[in-house]
Amino acid sequence: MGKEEYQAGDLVFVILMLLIVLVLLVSIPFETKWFDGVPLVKQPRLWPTFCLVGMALFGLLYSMQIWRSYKLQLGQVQGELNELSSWSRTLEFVFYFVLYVWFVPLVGYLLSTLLFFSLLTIRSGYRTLSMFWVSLVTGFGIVVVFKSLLQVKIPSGAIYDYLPDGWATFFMVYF
Amino acid sequence: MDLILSSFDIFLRWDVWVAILVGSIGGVIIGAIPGVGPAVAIAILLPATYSMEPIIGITVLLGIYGSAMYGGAIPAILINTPGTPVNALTTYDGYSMTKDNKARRAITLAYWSSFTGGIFSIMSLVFMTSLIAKVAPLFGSRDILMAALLGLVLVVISHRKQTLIAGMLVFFGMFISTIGMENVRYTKRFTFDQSWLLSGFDLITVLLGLFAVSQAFILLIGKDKRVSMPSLKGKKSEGLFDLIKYKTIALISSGMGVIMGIIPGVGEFLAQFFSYNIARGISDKPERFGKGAPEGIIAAEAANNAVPAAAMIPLLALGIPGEALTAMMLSVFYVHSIIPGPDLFVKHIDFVYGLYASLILINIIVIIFLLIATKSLLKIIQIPQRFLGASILGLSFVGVYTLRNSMIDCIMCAVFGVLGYALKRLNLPIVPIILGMVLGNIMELKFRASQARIDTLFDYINRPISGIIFAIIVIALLIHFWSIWRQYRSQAN
Repeated sequence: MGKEEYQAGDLVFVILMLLIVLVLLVSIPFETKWFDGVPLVKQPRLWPTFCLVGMALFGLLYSMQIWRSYKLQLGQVQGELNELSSWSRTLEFVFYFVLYVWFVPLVGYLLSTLLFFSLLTIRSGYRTLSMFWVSLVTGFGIVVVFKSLLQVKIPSGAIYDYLPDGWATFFMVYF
Repeated sequence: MDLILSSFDIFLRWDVWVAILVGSIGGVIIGAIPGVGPAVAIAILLPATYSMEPIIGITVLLGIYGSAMYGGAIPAILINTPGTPVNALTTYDGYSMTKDNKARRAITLAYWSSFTGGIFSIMSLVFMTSLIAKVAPLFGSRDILMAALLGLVLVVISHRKQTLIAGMLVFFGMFISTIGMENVRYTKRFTFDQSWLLSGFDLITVLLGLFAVSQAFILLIGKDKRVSMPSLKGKKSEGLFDLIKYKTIALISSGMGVIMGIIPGVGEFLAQFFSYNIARGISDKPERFGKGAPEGIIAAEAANNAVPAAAMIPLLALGIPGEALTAMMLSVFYVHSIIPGPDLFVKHIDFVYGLYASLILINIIVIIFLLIATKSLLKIIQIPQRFLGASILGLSFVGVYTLRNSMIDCIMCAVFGVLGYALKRLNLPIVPIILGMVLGNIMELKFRASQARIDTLFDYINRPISGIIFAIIVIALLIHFWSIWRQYRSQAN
């Protein structure tokens, strides 16, 4: 449940959060309204300010607590930076995810899902034909369950317009 | 009595049965796969349930919530890896029993303990309904404000040794809920002239990012682990006999689960830790705990399975979710215009009894399914981790894109995914953000709604209920600071 000791990345995380809080605190006069003659408790500015002050207070106390158990050594600073770079490894998958979202209205949910699963299967290092088939069947299954059966709200692909009329309607409704 | 019987009419519908089966069996499977968990599954399925009837949607989600911990015990006992985070304590005694060639006994004991906890909790809920129906309407804006504050205070102080960061994350969640157009004076807050920020951050976007997308990143970036399954030897009845032998511990742990479930912001972790310590305290052989004590499994599993039904009490009675999963369910209620709170027990009591009956059926179906199909479930545990990550990412798309077909929602979901990934790597808690977001919104609404009757700060606590809740907050804080002081003193000595 709890952490006995602080680990590499804790300090850089809280510093980043405090920087965001600082920017938001400075933005309060521009991003919230103040009504003259209205009591403080009824001001729309009060609640977000209270939240940001709370964040800043707890964040500062937490950073002080971390700092006390830190020894500023080159190794620890390097550890913090390594952790920061490990978070950036997610950006590659964020890119694939956004690419997938961008593709759906163009080539349709079915094709983009099959492409997405194929891409991630290759990226994950799976090279066997069986794993490739499993990923395609999984992608197809997800499309059938959510789009064909549950009819969730996903737009049809622009590519379907090039299909013959009957097929276009079928694909637009079910895939 | 007639009302209770008439609420059973819903079981004449095939779609209710499908929802119960999908929720309960799906929940067990999801729980049995390490790295998925009910939070990820519920976050993904939430938008799909919006198009269903409330009783169907809630039943599916409750099924997953209530049965995932049954399934989570399987990998905890067999491969020392908890299927869901709350099964972590089960590994202590469960895995030790597996090493002693008692895997079957440990697993069936976990099933029956979970069943006892689940049924005990539902029965408590049924018997408390008339009391809840009388007490809930007495709650006014100030009382609900205080109850939400109690939830936030408890979620912060229950994160021992992480109180400060939990506090910061609670305030972060509260701040997120303030972004967009506020609904009293209709002014913009922190929108930075971006039209997409006017409606603020959708809870689903944040939930999916923090729970599902972050988990997908962890699995995709990590390596596949090869696991070898131990064989299940022995009789299925052994676990049941153990439970009968240690029935007192099962009942105490279930009771502890109910109490901890009712209190907002506490949940399964504290319930099972308290139960485990009590069980060790009253055991004839406390030295066996952590080395394969059946009482340890009973305490952990009965307590954590007693929480889901009990956690429905503050949600149904006051509209206050006690933890992340009930916070997700709250949005299903709102979508269908069934507003949880004092009126629910007056206007929709048949719905409430229908939920209770569904919960009982879910537990019965799960125990039957597990006693029959455990061997088949062992294959599911061995799904490659990175493939699982790809599937979660693909499913997360459905969850977030179906909300508004918005690219920006998906990008924000991915951003919260990166944040969740960082938090998980640092072993920092995610739940305070979600509860801050949900309870913070409730608190602001109630705070502003109660202004008409407020002259001084004392007016917030001069009602009997708000006064009692405030006293509980003060006592909880005093106990927390006292325990810190005691720890500080013992370290100094």
